[in-house]
Amino acid sequence: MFFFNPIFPIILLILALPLIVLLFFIFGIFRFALISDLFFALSIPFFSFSLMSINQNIGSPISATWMMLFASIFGFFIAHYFKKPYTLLMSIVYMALWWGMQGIKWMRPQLIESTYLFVGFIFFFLISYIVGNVRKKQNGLVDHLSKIYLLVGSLMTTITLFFFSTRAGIVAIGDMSKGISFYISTPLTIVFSILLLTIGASSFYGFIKKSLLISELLMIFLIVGLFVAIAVSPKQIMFMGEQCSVMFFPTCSLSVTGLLWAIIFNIVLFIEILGLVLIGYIKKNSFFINLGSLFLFLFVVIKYFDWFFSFLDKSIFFIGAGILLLLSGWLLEKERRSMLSKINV
Amino acid sequence: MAEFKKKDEQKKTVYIISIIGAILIGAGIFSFIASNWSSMGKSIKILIIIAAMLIFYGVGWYVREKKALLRTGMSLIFLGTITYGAGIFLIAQMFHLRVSWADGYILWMIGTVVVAHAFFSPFLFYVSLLLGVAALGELAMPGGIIWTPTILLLTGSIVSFRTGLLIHKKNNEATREVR
Repeated sequence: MFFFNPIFPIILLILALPLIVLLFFIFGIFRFALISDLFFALSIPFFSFSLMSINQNIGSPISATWMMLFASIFGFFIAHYFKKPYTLLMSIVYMALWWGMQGIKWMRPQLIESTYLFVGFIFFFLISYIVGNVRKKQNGLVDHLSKIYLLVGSLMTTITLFFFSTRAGIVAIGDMSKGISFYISTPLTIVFSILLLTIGASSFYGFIKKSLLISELLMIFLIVGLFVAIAVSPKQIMFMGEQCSVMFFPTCSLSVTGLLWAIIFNIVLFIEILGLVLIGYIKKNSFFINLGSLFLFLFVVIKYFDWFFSFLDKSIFFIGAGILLLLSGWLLEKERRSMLSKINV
Repeated sequence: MAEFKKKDEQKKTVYIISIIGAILIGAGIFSFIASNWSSMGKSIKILIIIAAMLIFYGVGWYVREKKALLRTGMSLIFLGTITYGAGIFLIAQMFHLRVSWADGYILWMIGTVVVAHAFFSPFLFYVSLLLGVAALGELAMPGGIIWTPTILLLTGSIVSFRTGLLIHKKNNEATREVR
């Protein structure tokens, strides 16, 4: 399984490098503040490897993946105590890595369906989004940590929904749903219960403290409900024909179940993207407006190639899609400029 | 304002030219040594490595501190850092030491951090960060932590954390002074 491959953290780091550069430009951190932040962030994986080595030397009484969680918790303390955004980002990455590796270790032996892995990820991202909003309300615009929480929460939730709304994502849900329910695993049941309680409690807290709007609260519950529905659903046959269980097999026809999930995911994704733009306008957050605009553009382009390429006569679709894009772009750009100029003033 | 911009650009140009010059000199010296390496005895090899490192650090310090040529001096110190790192791997190879690449990168990182602290140079701190990332990349390989001593890993984590802490404190003091 890919997540057990030690190359995975390196690939994650390489993929994270452009994000790090982007964050540098977004935050504009002064040089020495950035250097100290990066050294703190570097100490987390070193600490993780040190713990793994010590654990190995004493005969591995604990699984090595738990060392990643301990290192991640250590990182969260440092990040919050010294107010270091990159250290926080590294801690979040390490926690996600822990979940990926430990989750598979819990699921594999008992042949539990692996959709729960992504359910856990989505719960983490939503909690991150809620925490970001609560922190931002408490600390104001200068708090870089809340920006990290919001960035991770909004970006990763959108990317995950994007993936599952594609043909490849629908195939993945079908493949991952082949397995036993998580109830038979005590650690998984405990973790999911904690995550669900945390989302429920924190979102209500955020709403009461006016950090979350009613629309954000509803969106969070919608996404939680969607992924819980996937988790509790029995085995899903998404395409007609056995050969269509392989990913990126574009000529397969969707079954009724597959069509239903595809429609649901695409609608939820579309609402989520529009919601990002709307929240950006209401909260005067230019980052959400830009992120939402970018994903809306990607949504139209990717959906065309993913779902509609073979359905309509290409010339008609090109013309129609072109008009739609131009109109959407013109409207969005008009509204975006108007809002951004008000925010900058 | 335009005059200030021009001077700033000139400083950057000097810095870049000095760094490139240092890298070219380093490459020339290393290629000369490499072509004659196999015919040298072990004692001569160690002597060359240590001498080169000390010369680069020494001359770099002198040029930077006494002659106030900050960028040229920093370039020579950077060359000394490269020599130090190359020396670690060459000595391991010469004596057939059973160590992993991660060990070398961690030792290199620690040495670079010490020099970076001595001059409080952001450039050298960034170099040591890159070396730390390289070490982590090696550790993430299959069996990466098996060959690396626990003490070295702990030292790496302590050095990283302590460096972050020291820079953070110094940065806060500097910010308070400015205010």
